[in-house]
This record gives sequence, C-alpha cells and structure tokens, in this order.
Amino acid sequence: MVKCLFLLLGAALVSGCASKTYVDYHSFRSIGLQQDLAGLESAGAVLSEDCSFSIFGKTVGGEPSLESAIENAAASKEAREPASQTAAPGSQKIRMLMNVHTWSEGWTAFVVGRQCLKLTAIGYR
Amino acid sequence: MLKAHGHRLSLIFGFAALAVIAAGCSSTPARKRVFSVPVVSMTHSRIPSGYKIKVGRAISTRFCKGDAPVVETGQTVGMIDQAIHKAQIEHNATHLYDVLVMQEKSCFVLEALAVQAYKLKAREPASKAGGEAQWMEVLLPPDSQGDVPLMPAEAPADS
Repeated sequence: MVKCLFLLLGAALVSGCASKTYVDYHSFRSIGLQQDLAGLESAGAVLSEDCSFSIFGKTVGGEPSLESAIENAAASKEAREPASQTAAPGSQKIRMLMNVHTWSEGWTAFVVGRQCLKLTAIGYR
Repeated sequence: MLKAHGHRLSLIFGFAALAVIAAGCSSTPARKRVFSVPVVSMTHSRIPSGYKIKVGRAISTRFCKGDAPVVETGQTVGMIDQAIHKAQIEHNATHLYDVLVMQEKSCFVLEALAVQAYKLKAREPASKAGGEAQWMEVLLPPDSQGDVPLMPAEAPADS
C-alpha cells in the first residue's frame, strides 16, 4: 500500500516536472513596424506596457493587447528622443523592435483589478 | 380546440427557432483577432546591405495548446512564437510580412506572406569552354543561435 502511494506520488511529481506552461506569446527576435528594414540604427532599450482595469472580474475597455504595447513602445521612444535638425523627416520613427520579451503583471483587490502586458525590446530607427 | 392547436403550433415553432439558433451558435467557432504587424521574425532582424527581399506566397499555420513545440524554448511555450517558427521553417522564410494572428478556441492561426532575404552568390561555371557563371541565392543567416536574451538594461535617464 505504501509502495503504491510512493509510486503514485513519484509519477505525479515526474509528470508535473515534465509539463510545459503554454502562454499566448513570449518572445520574438524582431517585430518590424515598417517593411523597410534596411539601414537601421539602434535607439536603445524600450520598455512599455498596456494595462486594463477589471471590475468584478470583467475587463473594462478591452484586454491588454500586444499591438498596443508595441505602439506604446515605439511612441515612447520617439517622444523621448528629440528630433535631429539634420535628420530627414520621419527618420526618428522606430521601425523595428528587436529581442522582444513580454510578460504579464497584475493585481486584484476585492472587486477591482488591474492587468498589464509588459514589453521590453531594443528599438531600431 | 382551434386555440389549443394554435398554442401547440406556436410552441413547436418556438422550439424549432431555439434549436436553429443553438445550432447556429455552436456550429463554427469564431476567430478572434489577436494582433497584426507588418513584419515579424523569430530568427532574423535587420537586413544588411547587399541582401535583397523576395516576397513569396501567402501562407497559413496553426499552433494549438498541447502541441509539441517546433523549437524548444524551455518550460514556457509561446504559442504564437511557435506558430511563427513553424511558418518560417515550413516555408524557409527569414521574415513574415503582413502578419495576422487570430485565436480559435485554444489554437492560434497565423496568416502572412513568406519572405526571404537573400544575396546572390556566383557559382563556378559549368565548363571552362564557355557559359556564364550561374548565380545562386544565399539566404541571410540567422541572427544567432539560442534563446532570446533576457530583459536588457533600462534605458538611460533623460539628460
């Protein structure tokens, strides 16, 4: 009886260790915001997020989206970097995000909650 | 008697209508749009000078929860990541253009255009007697092997 229990416990442990965690998305090598990927220059690290609130478990204003996080990443970098006077118009726009890594964070306090999709990457313009 | 008959008919029609609605709601699973981007790649990034782009045909791949990962990425399996990997491997693509990802129950469906970034490389001529050197296409090599690096250092504070 004890041996059976140990065997069952061992099988449960092994199956638990071998299981993978499936998430919607995790990491990407590159995400291009335009199809022109030639002549890119690094614009440094970018950190962005897209958040939403929930009330009684129901999300208000839509779930956090990867698209919004990507747009926020590009917009935040463009807003921080002052436009160069000698640069051609539009050359300061972020054209690609490289080494994109995403994760979720959030909290719930009784009936109110907040969920965020966070994104970090290296921006290229 | 006519009234009872009428009630019975209305009940039958009501149940029939409910059955039709239920069948319609349960027939085809709705696809929910997740995101779309102009370009994505799991293996490549910038296109250096000297390389050209060849846009191929429209492709579609699917990756579902529980499927064996196409590329091992450790304990965490990103399903959209794997769908992109799968599309690139199946179609020998360096990048994917006009990417649209949709969710269908526990699966992610990816539709995109397969793209190859390539460079022309001359080969030795078939014979010394004549004939032009044949050109072959060499695909842009992947950026690097291994996992995507962890979160980079924070951006420097504004001056």
